[in-house]
Amino acid sequence: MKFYQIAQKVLEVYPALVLEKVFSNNFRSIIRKVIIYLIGVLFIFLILNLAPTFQYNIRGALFILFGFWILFYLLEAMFYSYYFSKNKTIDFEVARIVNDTKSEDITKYFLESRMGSFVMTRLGISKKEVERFLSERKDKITKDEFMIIENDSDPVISVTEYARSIIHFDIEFASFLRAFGVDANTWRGVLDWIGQNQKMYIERSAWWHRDRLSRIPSIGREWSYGQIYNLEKYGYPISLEPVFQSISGKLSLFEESVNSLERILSKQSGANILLISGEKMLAMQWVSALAKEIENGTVRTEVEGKKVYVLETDSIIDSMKEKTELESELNNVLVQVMNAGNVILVIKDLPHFIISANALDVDIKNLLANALSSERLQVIAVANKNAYHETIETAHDLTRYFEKIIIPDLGHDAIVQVVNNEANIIESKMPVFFTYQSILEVVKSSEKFFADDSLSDKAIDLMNEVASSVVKGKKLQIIKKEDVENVVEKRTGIPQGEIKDKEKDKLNNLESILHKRIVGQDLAINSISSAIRRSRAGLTDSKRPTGSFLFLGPTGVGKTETTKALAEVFFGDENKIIRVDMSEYSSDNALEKLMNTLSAKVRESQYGVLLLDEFEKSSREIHDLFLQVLDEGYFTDTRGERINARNLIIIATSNAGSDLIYEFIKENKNVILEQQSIVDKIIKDGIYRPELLNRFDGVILFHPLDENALSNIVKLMIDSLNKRLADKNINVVTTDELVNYLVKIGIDPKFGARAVKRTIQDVVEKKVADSMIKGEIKNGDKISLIPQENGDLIVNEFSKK
Amino acid sequence: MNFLLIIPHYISWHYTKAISDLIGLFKNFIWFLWNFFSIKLLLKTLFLPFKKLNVQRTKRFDLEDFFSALVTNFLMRLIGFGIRLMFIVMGIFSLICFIFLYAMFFIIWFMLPLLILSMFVLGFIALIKIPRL
Repeated sequence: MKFYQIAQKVLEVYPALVLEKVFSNNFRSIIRKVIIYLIGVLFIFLILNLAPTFQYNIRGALFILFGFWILFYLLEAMFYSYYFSKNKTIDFEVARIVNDTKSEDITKYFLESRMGSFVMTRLGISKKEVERFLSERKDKITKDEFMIIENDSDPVISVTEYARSIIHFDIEFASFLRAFGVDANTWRGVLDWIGQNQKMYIERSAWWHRDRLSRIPSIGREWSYGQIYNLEKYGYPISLEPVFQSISGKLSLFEESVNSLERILSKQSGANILLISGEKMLAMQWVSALAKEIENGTVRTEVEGKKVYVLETDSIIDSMKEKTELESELNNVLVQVMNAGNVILVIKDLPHFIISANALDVDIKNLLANALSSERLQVIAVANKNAYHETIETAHDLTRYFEKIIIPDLGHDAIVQVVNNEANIIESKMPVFFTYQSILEVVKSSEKFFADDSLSDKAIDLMNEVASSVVKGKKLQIIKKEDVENVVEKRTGIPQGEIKDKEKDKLNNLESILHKRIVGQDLAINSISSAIRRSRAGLTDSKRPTGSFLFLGPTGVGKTETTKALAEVFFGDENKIIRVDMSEYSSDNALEKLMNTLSAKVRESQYGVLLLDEFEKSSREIHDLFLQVLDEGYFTDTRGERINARNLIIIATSNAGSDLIYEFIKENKNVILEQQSIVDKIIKDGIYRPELLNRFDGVILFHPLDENALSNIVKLMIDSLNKRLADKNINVVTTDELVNYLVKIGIDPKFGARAVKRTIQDVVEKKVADSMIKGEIKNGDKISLIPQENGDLIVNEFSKK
Repeated sequence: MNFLLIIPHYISWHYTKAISDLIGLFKNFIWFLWNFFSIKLLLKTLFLPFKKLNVQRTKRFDLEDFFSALVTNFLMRLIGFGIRLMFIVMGIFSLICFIFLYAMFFIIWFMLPLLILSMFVLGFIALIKIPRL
């Protein structure tokens, strides 16, 4: 749409614009107050007869003032009539901007408008910077060049559409924004947020609109429905649910959900719903949103005035001792609910209810199916995904009365909306102002670090924590991205944001840091290092684990050592490793067993390295589980709770392919160059499926150690022995003679460095210990060990030699 | 002088868009009152027992039981009927009052610009009248 066409639309609200020009909104409200004040004063004069001679004049003045008072109210009515009009095709703020745009410079007039400067403030871009941009730029967008790129779904030209079109045409402005970290998506997001707030303001203010009037509860509805004493004994209204309290701010998220619930509940018969959800809280949020809308009176007439009650299944089962008792009590509850005619009964965990009633030999499936067959009952039952498959799915007698809804997880946009709403709430309570970038950072961090059952609540917590961390007295504080990063860093201990100098050093020198502990394996170390740098620079998807690698290669070539080194570099402690021996998880119930173990361990320490030893020995189901973990960064445990794996470095080690590696070595081939054929063989043998291998950030091949590498390892090990001996002040001197001897007797291609390590323990450590006991060496000695032809070692005092 | 700019816009609004807005408002309020007093629901359930309170008779026929249930249930229906009727009457009365008042307001609306003008003129005359000392 061309600019002149938009200018045409401005006529729809033109009188209100003229009014705003002549008397601004603020001015009008001040004038109204002054008039009222004057009327009050003159009235007192008149009544108390304070100026008897001017009685007549005072009356005249009152008449005039009263006329003005009415006039200003009428002007306000006119303004409202246009501002809140539902059938205009241009947003009032856009009309204002377009009407004010005089010269051939679209961007400037947008930035100088009320709305434009507010948008820039939200993005944390100061007036000065905007002014500098306006004075320094070269090109200006003229009215002829400018067009609005329309959004088909909404006929009203919104500020979002207008402003998005601006950055489409004004490339200079777009790159100015990018310098502040604002790309097209962020730009759209901030505009949507502001637009949403404006819409909410309009909805709140226009009390005479029908949807607002409908929220006033009607009288007399109660009298036509029955009482529910029994249910009150074993249940409670949904308003007592904790999620219900926090649902108000998130209602817009659940618009669709409430709609689908309403649609089913409005049916004449069979109006029961089974909510199947991966997240525990989400289903109750759906029901709460419905109940809230009922409370607000904004639902279809069929659902209007219904009471939503939660049945406390545990309490009813616990208070009954016998089968018949439980059955008759449950029956009483259900019959009363049916008679009442206005109750929607919520069963929070239907599978659990079925199983626990089974202990008293009561068949809930049957009992419920009987009650539902009367078609006078309305039930919303909730079931966890796994439990649903196990207990209910096959019970067709029961499920035929329900319509199933599988609840999808909350998406990214939905979380942004929750956080936006929370920002509005916090800003109304505390002297803080969130930049839009800080909002996005909250969402990003919550997704990465706190992604379990109730992501939206975690994000809200984080918002509040950030706000209270910056508040100082009454002065308005602007919350930036960095403020969020600081709080997240404090909570998790993981550095956020701009990579700091110390960490930068660490990342740049990762190869040499890892090489301090790991001998050889150059290619492996290089590819791990660059994968980790990618992750830290924020290039990878924040929803996946921090890093994930499959280490292939025979025993004793540095796989575990590399894992420890990574834990030390990234989590400050080589013991920050959750080690799981996967060979223990190959039986039939392996998956469940592993999920329990993992969920307990990962809950305990969310930040660290998860080491899956001998990954190839676990069952196929477990491989499938890790397909999800590597992709989405979480898994759902047997209790249906979400476990966050986004802060883990996941390392699976495997001996698969070792035989082939040895063959290549025998044939004197370079193992590293043969990586592809090794991987192909592994896939061909059906050890790992290609989709699993592709999910890892890297499949890293560790080759067997040659003699040179082994002698370096021996040196490292003698160093570490010396460290242990340091407090006794004893030092074993590393001679070439000793190193060569140890490599010669310790070499065992099957066990690599592990065999050498064993040799050092068996030979060197034993010798030193024996000699210490015999008193041959004392505190402060420096000794050398000299190999003999018979295989023995002779201890010599080094200085004496 | 800017102030005068607004007058033609205002007058045209007052006699066109404002009129259709006022009609829309009228419809909203009528709809609201109708719903607020639940008139439709109360009419539909006029003869049901109050809060569905009623006595279930036992299966075996017992004359005393039969009559006591009959009496109680009849009473509950009577109470329900009485209270509902009261609110229906109240609702209809409010509707009538509202319609009457709104009609008055509507008539005044047409004369409002003149009314304000005359207030200014009369007020001005009174204001400048020299008081007799």
